[in-house]
Amino acid sequence: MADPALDRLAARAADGDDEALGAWFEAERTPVYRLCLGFLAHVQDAEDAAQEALLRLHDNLCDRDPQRPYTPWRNSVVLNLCRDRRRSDQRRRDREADRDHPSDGVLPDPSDVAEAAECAQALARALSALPPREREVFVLVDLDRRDATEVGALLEIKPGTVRATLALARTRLGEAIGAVLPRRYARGGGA
Amino acid sequence: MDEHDLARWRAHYERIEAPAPAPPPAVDWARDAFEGLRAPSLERASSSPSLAWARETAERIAAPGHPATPGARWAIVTSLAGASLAAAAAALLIVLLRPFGAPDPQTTSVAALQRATDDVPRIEVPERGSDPTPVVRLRADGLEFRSGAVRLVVLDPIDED
Repeated sequence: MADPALDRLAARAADGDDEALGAWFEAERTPVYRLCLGFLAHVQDAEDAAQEALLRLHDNLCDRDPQRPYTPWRNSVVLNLCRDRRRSDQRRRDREADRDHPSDGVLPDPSDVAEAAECAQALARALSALPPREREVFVLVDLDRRDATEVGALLEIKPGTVRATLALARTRLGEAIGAVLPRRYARGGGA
Repeated sequence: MDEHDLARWRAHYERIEAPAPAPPPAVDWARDAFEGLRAPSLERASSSPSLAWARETAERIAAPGHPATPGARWAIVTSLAGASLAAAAAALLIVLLRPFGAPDPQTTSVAALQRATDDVPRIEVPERGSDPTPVVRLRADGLEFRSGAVRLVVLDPIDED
């Protein structure tokens, strides 16, 4: 999904336009945080990672090839940072080991959730039911609406593998959520 | 998972917003840091409670026997409050560390920091007044100071071995 306005904003920020830099920061805070939350499935870790990602993006804006779209580059930076954090954090690995229980995959009805922070908590809990690779694919394709070709290039896998991984993720999430709250997920049904 | 379920997931995802970039105590802390840099003497800078915390933290880290004692190349990694505050805070740490035995923050090394990471994963500093609980912790790539949304990190430790 191309975003020419964001491409131009990033280019202006890279050229030293302070106003554009401020606008870039405001525009990117939430998308970067959402990606971090999706990849890490942990609110506090996502907040830390988002700060670090914004700084890393800022530091490398000038080195980016301006002829290439900004968003895939940003996603790549955020993805790599989140992977690094997962690898380097033993406590995170311990938590990951505890996330194999499908009962973690609870996602309440959005209308039941009053605050954005509660949404983040609910989404993190639900996504924690997935292994990291499936989570990455699900977040990028289903939640961030990237196409399979772009995600395949980002994850260095074939588009067909993206689709297969996505199917696994959807099944796993469906089973996890259905096992916990079957009525919520009946079409048109509420709890 | 059908389209109905997927719409529910997306509704959650798209309602999520990043946390506010700088809660007031962190802004105050960074403002103190900036004012401290403009102060004609370190004594004036030290009159701020937040700066006193920063100074004590620096002193603790620079104390003999602490794993980070050899010093480091101090730099700011991130401040959600913005680049100018980040630069001010980075310079602040350099200012603060000079009296406490780090010979030259720009060039000295901190090999012990990396070696100590496994032994001392986190040092908690007690809460002071209305400040958010400031934290100092060792990371794989450096040392991190944090107060609210303002974060300072020691970058690029140079291994002397």
